[in-house]
Amino acid sequence: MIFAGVDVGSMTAEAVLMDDGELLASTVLVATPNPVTSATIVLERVLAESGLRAQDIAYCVSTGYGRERIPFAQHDISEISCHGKGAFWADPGIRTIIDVGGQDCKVIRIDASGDLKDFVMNDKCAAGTGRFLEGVAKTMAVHVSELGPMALEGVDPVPITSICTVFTQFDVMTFLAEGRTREDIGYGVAEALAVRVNRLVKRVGVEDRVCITGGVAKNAAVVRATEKVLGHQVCSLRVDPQIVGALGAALFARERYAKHGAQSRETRS
Amino acid sequence: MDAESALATGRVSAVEELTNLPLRGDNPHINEWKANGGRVFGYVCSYVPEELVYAQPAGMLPVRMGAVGCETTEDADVCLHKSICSFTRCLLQLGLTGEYGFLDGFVMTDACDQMRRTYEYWRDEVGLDFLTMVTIPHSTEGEERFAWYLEEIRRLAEAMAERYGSYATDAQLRESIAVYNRYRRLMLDLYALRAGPAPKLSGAEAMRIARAGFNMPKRVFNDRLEEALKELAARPGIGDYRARIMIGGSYLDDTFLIDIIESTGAVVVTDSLCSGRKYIETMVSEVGDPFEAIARRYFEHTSCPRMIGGFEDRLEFTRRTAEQANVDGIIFHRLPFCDNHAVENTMESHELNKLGIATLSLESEYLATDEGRIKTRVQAFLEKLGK
Repeated sequence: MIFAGVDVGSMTAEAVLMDDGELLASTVLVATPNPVTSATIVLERVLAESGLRAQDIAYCVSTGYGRERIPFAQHDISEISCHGKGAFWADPGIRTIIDVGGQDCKVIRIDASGDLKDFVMNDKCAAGTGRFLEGVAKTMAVHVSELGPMALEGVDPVPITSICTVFTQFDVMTFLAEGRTREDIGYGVAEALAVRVNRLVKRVGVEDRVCITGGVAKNAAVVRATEKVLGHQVCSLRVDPQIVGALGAALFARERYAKHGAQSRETRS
Repeated sequence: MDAESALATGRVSAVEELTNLPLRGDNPHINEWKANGGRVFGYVCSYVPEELVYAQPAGMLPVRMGAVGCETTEDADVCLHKSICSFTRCLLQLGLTGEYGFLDGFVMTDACDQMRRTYEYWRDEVGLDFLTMVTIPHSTEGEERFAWYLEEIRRLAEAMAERYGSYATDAQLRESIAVYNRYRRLMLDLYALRAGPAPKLSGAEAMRIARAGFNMPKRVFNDRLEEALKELAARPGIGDYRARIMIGGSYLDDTFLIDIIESTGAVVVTDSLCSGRKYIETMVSEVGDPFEAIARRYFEHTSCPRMIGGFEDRLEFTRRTAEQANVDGIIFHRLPFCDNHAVENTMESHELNKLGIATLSLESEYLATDEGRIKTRVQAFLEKLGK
């Protein structure tokens, strides 16, 4: 039986299809300004990739921005619970999830059953998020995906005192003008982001095992810096860290189907 | 009564009247008061003794000032930096643009520095017939501090007497006390209607009724509220809610946050707001010297977190209120840059969590628009509660 999860974020949208307990297919694409459009396209794409049709889906759960407005989803669940659920499926030993997305950052604690125990989110600021890294990458004229490998080559991280996304871009320009290498700047930026993330982690506490989800988890320098600042090992998951939210949504879809059966959008609770 | 049947009978229910009371210049009660030669006194802060103002023979209507409907702070931002509390800036904005033009006086306190910083702008830029600042000791322990507060209240009475020509007599003070105590008892009845398994009204309705209480002569409000209580008691109540939520924080008179919480299927059943249940509890003693009795009540009610000490009492207030309304969780709200409540919310949460009471801390501007950001947190909180 096919279950779907759709996660529309501020920068990317993801869809996951599961065949009962097995991960069948997943797709990540750049989000459009309209969450419904993004959700529709990403679901169509993942269906096409797996040779399935929309009517094959028994139950669909949406999460992320605009999650309540996705017409083909029977239910919506916050991305906080979904990241917890998805990470726990990928590794049942996980207790702390650091999700660094396009425009927010959250730390999620789950219990031994994978249920949400506590969480904290950053407040209305792009600092320490994917958008922050995109801004820095743009200033240095590199693609955001190049930032991680580049930063790992750094030897002497530049000091980033302000974590404001806009001010940091000014700082980066100044460092470039002073002749600092892009590697050292990338290293400094990764450390600054890790320090910011750590402040959030300390508010809810940390319990092993720890993982990072969201697009920023793909930046190896950020992962390394986070391990250093946190003093805990960051486990890598067996799935793409960017699809964890959508994966959690698909898992919730399966649970809800077992509990409530198929529901139309109108009758959902 | 729905709108259609109200139209048919030509009568509007008391609940509808109170929940839809127009504000400021459109408020019929304020306009009537003014038309009858009365004066309107705005005030902020729970340390302003309303009974004293209401008792004045010159006919003074105390109105607790809010800023619901404020859409911009562009003029206030010229005076006050963005790091000053947004409620304070919204209020000043309404002052600068004449929305509070009906006010004869404004009584402030120095209880919070954010509000205190606006005094000069209200004096110099807005300009009112009567403007005064009541200073409050930084602790409510010890008789010498009470003596300070009592002295401040006397100074307020003298300033009003000097400007408007007469003092309130003891009999007038006693009458005012009786009206306000009745108001408090009726409002507690309103809270009681929300405490049962099927709350008779939503949190948003309750806040709108409380707001009407800030903006009407209490005598008139009491009668309408008594009527409203009967109407509400006859309702079937809300049965199919997802969770019972309490909100905590400072001054909130806009339903923005409650609307978001209730849009998730939860119902807000009580609060520990200084504009909510904290404003209602604690009667004024009806025996002894009435002037001193009024001062005593305002000095000794559940304190503001700006006070040194008093944390245990405030925590107990929150715990007891949560228990009385059988809540599933507490959502604490704070306005950015409110240092007092930022620390208080964190400290109370910490202690409440130890008692097994779940909490969520939120921050939003008074003039908030970021519904999605707040809703995600509220939804996740309900999911965490297993609701």
